[in-house]
Amino acid sequence: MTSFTARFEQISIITRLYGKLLGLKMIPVAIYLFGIALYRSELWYWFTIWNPVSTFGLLLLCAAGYVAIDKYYKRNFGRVTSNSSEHLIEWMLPGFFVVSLIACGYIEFYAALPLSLSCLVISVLLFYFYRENRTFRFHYLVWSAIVFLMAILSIFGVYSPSQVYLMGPDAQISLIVLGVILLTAGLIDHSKLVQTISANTEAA
Amino acid sequence: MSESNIFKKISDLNRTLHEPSRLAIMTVLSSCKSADFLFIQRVTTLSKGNLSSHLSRLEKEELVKIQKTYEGKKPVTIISLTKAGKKAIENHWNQLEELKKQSSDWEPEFEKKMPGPGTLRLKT
Repeated sequence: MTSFTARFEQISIITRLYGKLLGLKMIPVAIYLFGIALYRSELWYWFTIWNPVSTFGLLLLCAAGYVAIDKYYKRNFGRVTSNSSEHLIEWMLPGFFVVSLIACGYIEFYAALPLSLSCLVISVLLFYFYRENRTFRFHYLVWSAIVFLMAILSIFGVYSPSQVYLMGPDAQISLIVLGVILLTAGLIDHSKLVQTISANTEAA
Repeated sequence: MSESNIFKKISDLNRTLHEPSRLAIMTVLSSCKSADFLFIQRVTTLSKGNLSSHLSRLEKEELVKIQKTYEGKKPVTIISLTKAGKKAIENHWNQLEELKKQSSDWEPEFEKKMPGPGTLRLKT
C-alpha cells in the first residue's frame, strides 16, 4: 500500500510543482545578470561602449532564449495549468517580489545602508520556494542561507555594502552570486524533473 | 471492524477509478486545473493508445472533459476533471485512506477462532 500510494504522491507533487521545475528557463535570466555584472565591472569593453544598445540587445537575446526553452518544455514534457488559487499566487508573487526588490534596491542605495535589503528579500523568496516542498526543493534552503549571509556580512566589514546592493556602480557581487544561484538551482530543478519522469518510466 | 465490513468497503471502491493507470491519470488531473495529453503521457508512462482508451473511458463516465484545440497548426489536447470527477477522485482517496487505517489493525476471523499456542491437544 505504501509503495502504491508513494507513486501517486510523486505524480501529484510533480504535477503541482511542474511550472517551477522548468529550470532551464533560468539560464537566459542568469546570462542577463552576468552581462549586467560584466558591464558594471567594465570587464566587457564593447558592451560598455555600446551601452544602451548592448543592454537592450542582451535583454532581447535572453527573452528569445526564454521563449525557445519554453517551447522545448512544451514539446517534450507538455503543459499544465495550475489550480486557480495557485495560479493567482504564481502571477502575484513575481509582481510583488519585483516591486519589493526595486523598492529595497533604491532604499539601500540612497540611504547607504550597511547591509543589503534586496538580498534579504531574495533570501525570503528562496526560503518560500523551499517551504513549497521541503524534500523536493531542499536546495533552496541552502541558497536562501547563502543569500542571507551575503546580505549581512557587509555589516562585519567582509566587503563594502555597495557591492551587494542591487543598484549602483559597484553592485557586481550580488548580480554574479544571484546569477550562479539561478543557474545552479535551475539545473537542479530540471534534473529533478527529468529524473522523476525517468524513474516513473522505469517503474512502469 | 468486522471482516465482512472491510471486504464490503473494498468491493464498494469505484472500479473505473481503481485501475492503476486511470487512478494515475485522475491523480495528475486532480493536482492541477488542466494538463495536456503529452504531460499525462510522460508522467503516467502510458503509451498513446493506452492513454487514449483510458481517457475515453473516463470521458464516457463523465469524469474528465477533453478539449481539442490547435496551437498554430499543431493539435493540442487539453484534459481537465469535471465536477463529478473531482468529487469521485477525492472520495476514492478518502476511501483508500480509511481502508489503509482499518487494515492496519485488522485481524482475520480465522485467526481469532484459532486456539492460542500450547492449547492444541492431539487426540490419542
